[in-house]
Amino acid sequence: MRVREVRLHDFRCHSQLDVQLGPAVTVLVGSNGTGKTSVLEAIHLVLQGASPRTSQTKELISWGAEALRVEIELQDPEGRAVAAAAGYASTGERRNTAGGAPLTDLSRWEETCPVRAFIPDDVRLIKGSPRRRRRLLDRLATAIDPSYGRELAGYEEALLQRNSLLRKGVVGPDHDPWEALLARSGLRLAAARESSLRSLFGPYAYMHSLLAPAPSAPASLLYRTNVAALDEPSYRERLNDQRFADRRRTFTNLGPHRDDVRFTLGGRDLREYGSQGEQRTALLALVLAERSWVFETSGREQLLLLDDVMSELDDGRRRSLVALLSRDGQVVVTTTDLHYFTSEELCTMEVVELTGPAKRSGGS
Amino acid sequence: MRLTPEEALPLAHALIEAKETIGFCERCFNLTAETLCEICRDMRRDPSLVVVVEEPADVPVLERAHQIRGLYHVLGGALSPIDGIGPDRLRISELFQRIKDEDIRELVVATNPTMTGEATALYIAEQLQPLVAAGKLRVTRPAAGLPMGSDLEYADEVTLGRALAARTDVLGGYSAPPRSSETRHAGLQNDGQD
Repeated sequence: MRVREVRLHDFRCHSQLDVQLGPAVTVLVGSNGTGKTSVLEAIHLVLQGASPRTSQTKELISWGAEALRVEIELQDPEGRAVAAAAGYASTGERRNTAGGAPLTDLSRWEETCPVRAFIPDDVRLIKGSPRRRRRLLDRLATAIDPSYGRELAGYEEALLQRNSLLRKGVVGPDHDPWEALLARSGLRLAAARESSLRSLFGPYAYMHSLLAPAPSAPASLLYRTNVAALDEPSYRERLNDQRFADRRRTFTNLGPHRDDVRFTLGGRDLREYGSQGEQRTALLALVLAERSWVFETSGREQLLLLDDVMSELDDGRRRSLVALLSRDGQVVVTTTDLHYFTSEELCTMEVVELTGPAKRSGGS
Repeated sequence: MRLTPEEALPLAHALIEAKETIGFCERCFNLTAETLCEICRDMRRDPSLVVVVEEPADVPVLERAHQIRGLYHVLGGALSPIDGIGPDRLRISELFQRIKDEDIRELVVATNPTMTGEATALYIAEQLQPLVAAGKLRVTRPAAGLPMGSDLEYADEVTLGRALAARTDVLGGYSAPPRSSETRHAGLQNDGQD
C-alpha cells in the first residue's frame, strides 16, 4: 500500500499540516525548526505505533493542546482508499483506527504497509543492546520462512521451562527433555538466522560501498552465536555440563537467545570502535539493504523515512543514493537544501516545502 | 445461581454421587466406576500395545479413530516445570511399572503436539531407551499430517512442513532402484506391472 496523504493536528510544532506524498520519492524541504522530522515521526507513529525518536508520546503533543491526531490516507494496490489514524491524548489515552474502526493490533499495518525509518541520531541498532539486532535476525528469517516464528515461540517456551527448573534449583533428568527440545530448535533457529543474514550481506556490502566515504575498508555483517559448530548431541552435552553453572546464574547461557550481529569495518567492531559517522553509514546501508532484500525476496515494498541523509554525503554518493531511492517503493526524505538534488532528479520527485510552525500545506 | 433449591438439590446429589463412584482405573488411570475401566476389562484388546495420553478425555478421542485396539495409559497431564509439574506429578513411574509387569511390546506416546507434550514424550522415550536398544520395546509417536477433508491452502506452515517431512509413498511396492542404468530400466518396467 502507498501513502497518499498525511494530516497532522497538534503534532509537535504543527497545529495543522497536510502533506501529499508522491508515488516514489517525496522531498520535505525547509530550514531548521520547520518540523520536517515531525512529519516522518507522525507517519511512523500511525503505522508502527511509536515515534522513532522518542518513547515519550506526550512530547509529541503540541504545546497547550490536549491531544494530537494524525490521519494517513493509504491506497491499496487495487486503488481503493484506506484511512489509518492515531490519536494520543495528554491523559495517556490512545486510539488507533483503520477506516474509522478501532484497531488494537498494528500488525495489520506492518503486513500491508511496512515502514522503516533512518534517523541519524538513532544508532541504537548498532550501539545498543543485542535485542534489537536479534529482532533484525528474526525479521529476516521470518521473511524467508514463515514457519520460523513458530519455531522461535517453541524455543522460547522450552527455554522458560528449563529456566524455571534452574530457578527452583532442580538439576537432574528433569532437564533432559527440555534440553533435547532446546538443542533441536536452537540449531534450527541458528541455521535460519545465519543463512538469512548471509543473504543480506551482499546487498549490505554493496550499499555500504556506495555510501561510505572513499577509501573505506570493507564492511561486514557477522552472525555471532554460541552454538556455532555444535550438532544436536554436542549441544545437549554442553547444556548438560552447564546445569550447575546455569543454576547459579538462574538462566540458560547457551543458545541463540544470546545471539548477536556484529557490524565491522575492516575487521573493526563498529559497536565499540566505530565513529558516529561510521555507525550512521552502516545503519543507513543496513536499512537500504533490508529494503532491497525484502523487495527481492518477497516483492513487498517498504515505505522508507530518511531524515537528513543528504548533508553528510559528497556529490557522487548523493547521486548513488537518489538512484537507489527511486526503486523498490516509496520514500520520504527530509533536507534543508534542495541543491543536494539535481534538477533532473527533482523532476521525478514530489517536493513539499515546509515554511514553519504556522498552518501551511504543500505540494508540487 | 438461577436454579431454585428444588432444582439445585438433585444436581448437587448427582455431583456428589459422581464424585463418590467415579475414580481412576487401577491399571491405566482412565475414569471408571469400577476397579478396572471398560477398556482394560475388554479381553479382545491387544495388551501388548499401549497408547499413552495426557488426559482421560483423550481416550474417547483416540477410540473414535478405530485404529488401535490396544490399551491406554493416562498420565494426568504433561511435563511443565513452570506449572510445577515434574515427572513425579504424572503417572510415569506407574507406566514404567506396567512395562515391567506386563508384556508390552509397543508404546504409542500420543501426548499433545505442544512443547509440553513433546517434552513428555521425549522424557518417556529416553527413560525407556535401554529397553528399546535391547529390542524389547518399541516407542512410537503418531505422525503429524494434514487433516483429511481440509484444503492444503488452510494448513499452517508447521503442520504442512511436518507432513511433507513425513511423506509416504502413494502406492506401496517402491524400492530404491539399483545403480546401473540397465537394471534400473528393468526395475521401472517391473514397477509398471505391479
